Amino acid sequence: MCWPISRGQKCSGSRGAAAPPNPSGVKGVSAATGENIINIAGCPPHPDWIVWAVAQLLIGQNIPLDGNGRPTQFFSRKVHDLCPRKDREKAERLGLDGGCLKELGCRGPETKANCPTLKWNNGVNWCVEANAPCLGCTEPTFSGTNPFYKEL
Amino acid sequence: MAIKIVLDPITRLEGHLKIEVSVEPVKGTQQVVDAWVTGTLYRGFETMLINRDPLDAQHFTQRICGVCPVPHGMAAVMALDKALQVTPPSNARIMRNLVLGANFIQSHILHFYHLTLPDFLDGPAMPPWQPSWKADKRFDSATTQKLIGNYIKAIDMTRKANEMGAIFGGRMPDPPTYIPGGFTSFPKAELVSKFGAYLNELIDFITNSYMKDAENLAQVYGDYKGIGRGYANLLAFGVFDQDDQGRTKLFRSGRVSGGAGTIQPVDTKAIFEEVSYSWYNNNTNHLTPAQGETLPLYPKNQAYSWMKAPRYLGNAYEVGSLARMWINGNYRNGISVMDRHQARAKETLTIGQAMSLWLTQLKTGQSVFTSYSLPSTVQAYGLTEAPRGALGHWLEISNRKITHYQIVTPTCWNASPRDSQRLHGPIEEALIGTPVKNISEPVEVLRVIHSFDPCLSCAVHIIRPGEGSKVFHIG
Repeated sequence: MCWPISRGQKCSGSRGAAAPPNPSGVKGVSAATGENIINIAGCPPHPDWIVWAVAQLLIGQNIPLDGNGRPTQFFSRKVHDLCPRKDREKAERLGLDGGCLKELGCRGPETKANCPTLKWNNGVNWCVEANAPCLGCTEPTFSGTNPFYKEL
Repeated sequence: MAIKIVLDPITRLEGHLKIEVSVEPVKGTQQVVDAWVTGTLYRGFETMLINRDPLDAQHFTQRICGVCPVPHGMAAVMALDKALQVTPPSNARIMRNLVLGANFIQSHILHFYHLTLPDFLDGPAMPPWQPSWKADKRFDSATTQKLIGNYIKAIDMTRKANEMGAIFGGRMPDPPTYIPGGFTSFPKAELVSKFGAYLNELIDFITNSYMKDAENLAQVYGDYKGIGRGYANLLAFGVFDQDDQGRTKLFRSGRVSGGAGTIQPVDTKAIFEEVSYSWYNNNTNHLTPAQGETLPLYPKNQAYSWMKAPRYLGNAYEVGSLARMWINGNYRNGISVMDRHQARAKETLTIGQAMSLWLTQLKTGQSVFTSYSLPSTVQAYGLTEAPRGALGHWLEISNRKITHYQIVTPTCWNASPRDSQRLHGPIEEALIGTPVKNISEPVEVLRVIHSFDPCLSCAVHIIRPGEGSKVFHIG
C-alpha cells in the first residue's frame, strides 16, 4: 500500500517564515515535487503530531486531512475554541498575567491546533499559558503580513 | 601529489556543511595541508525582516535554528531593549537567563553524546549507529556499553532540559515569551519549584555522567590534545547578565590572540564581514554588521560558501565554550579538539550551578515588563552568546519598521571561508596539520570539525536544480 510522503514544519508544508517576501524562493514540498503530502503544520510542529502520523502510516491507518493537508485529528478545532482563557477579561497591555490575549494580537481565533489541550513539552506549558499570544504558526498564512502584536 | 577528500554532507551537526581537504605526507605523516569549509544553504532571514514590525523580530530570528532558537530570541530583544531605551525588570532578566541556560544545557549534552561520541564509539549493530566508519575506536567493550547507556540517558536529559525551559519559556523550541521590555511569564512559586527539581536532576547528570565521560574521552584520546589548535584566537561577547544594567555577566566579553597574553576588550566597530570567497555581491565586502547587506550572488568566481567571513581587525577568531571559559579564566588547559569538549562540559556545570542561584533571586509578585514607546528611527545592536559562541543582531528602525537587520552567528565566525587576504577561517586553520591515517575514513577530520559544534542553521531541504526529488513510500 502506498501512502503520500509526510512532511513536517511550516516551511516545507506551506512556506512558513519564508512566506512573502520569500527571498530564497522557497516552495512547499507539494508544489516542488507534485506529490500529495501529509502536512504536519507548525513552527515548530509538535512532536506528538509527527509521531502520531508516522504511527498511523506504519499500522496502515487512513489519515483524514483538511483542505491544507493537515490531519484533522489535530487541526480541526480552533485554538480559541479550546482555550481556557476564552471568557476571561482581556489583557490591555503586555506585562499582565492570566488574561485573554485577544487585544495583544492573539491569533487563536484564526488558528487550528490542539495546543490548549495537548500543551507542549510533555504537558509542561503552552504559549498562551505563558501569556504569549498565539502566533498562528500552524496556519498556511503564517507568518502573514499583520504584525504579531496587532489585534486581529 | 595531494589527495582531495570531500565530505558532503557532514552529519551529526546542525544544518548543511561540506568540507574539502587536501591531504599529503609532510615529514612522513599523511596530513591535511589545506581545507575549504562550505555552508551549503542560503535562506535570507535578514531579508525577511525588512519592513516587518520591530516587535516581531525575535519570533522570526528564533526560527533560524531549532537547536538554539533561544539565543536568537535573546539577541533580538536585547537589541530592541537598546533601541527602545528600556531596561527590563530583574525578574525578566533572570527568567530570560534561566530559559537560555536551559537551552545551553540541552545543546551541550546533545552535542557531546549525540553529535560527538559516535566519532569515537562503535555503536550497537543497528541503525542509526550503523553503517559507520570503523577506524580508531579505542574504548573497551565495557566502557563502550556504559557510554551507549549514557547516550540513551542523554536523550532523556535533553528532553528534560527543554521541559525545564518551557516552564518559563512557554514552549521549547521557539519560546514566545521573550519580548522587548521583559518577559511574559511570571515567576510563581510552584513554577520556581518545578524548575528547580528539573535543574537538580540535570546537574546530577552533568556532574556524574557528562563531565566524567568527557574526561575519560580526553584521556583515552589524549593525542587529540595536540590536534585542532588553529589560530588560538578566541572571542566572546559575554552572556548571562548578572545585573539589570548588564554590567557584569556570568561569562565576560573579551578577546585573546594566539592563546596567550592579557584579555583584550571587544569593540564591535572592529568587526567586518568579508565576502571575497562567499556567494554575495562584492559591493557588500568589508562592511560592519551595522552597515552590512545580504545580496546573494550565485555562482560567483572563486566563492565557495554561503557564509560570510567575519573578521576582527582582519583576524579570524574562534568562538564557543572554550573561548568563553578561557576569557573568563575558568579554563586555560589548552586549545585543541579535546580542550573544546572539556571546556564545554565544564561550562555546562558552571551554568547549571549559576541557574540554581538565579532561581533564588526571582521575586514573586514583582513585575516582568517595563513599558516603552517605539521611536520612529533608531539603530541598535544586541550581543549575547549561543551555546556555539558569540552572537550579535544589528538592527535599524525607520518610520517604525525594520529597515536593516544583520545577524552574525557563532558558526559564521568558526566555519567562515577565506577572506580578502586569503586567510583561512578558524575551522579551516584548525584542520591544517591534522593527521589522516586512512583516506577512505578520515575520522580525524570529522573529530576536528565536530569539536567546534558547528550549527549551520537548520533549513528547509533544498532540491538542487537538475536532481529529482526523493519520495519514500511507507507501507
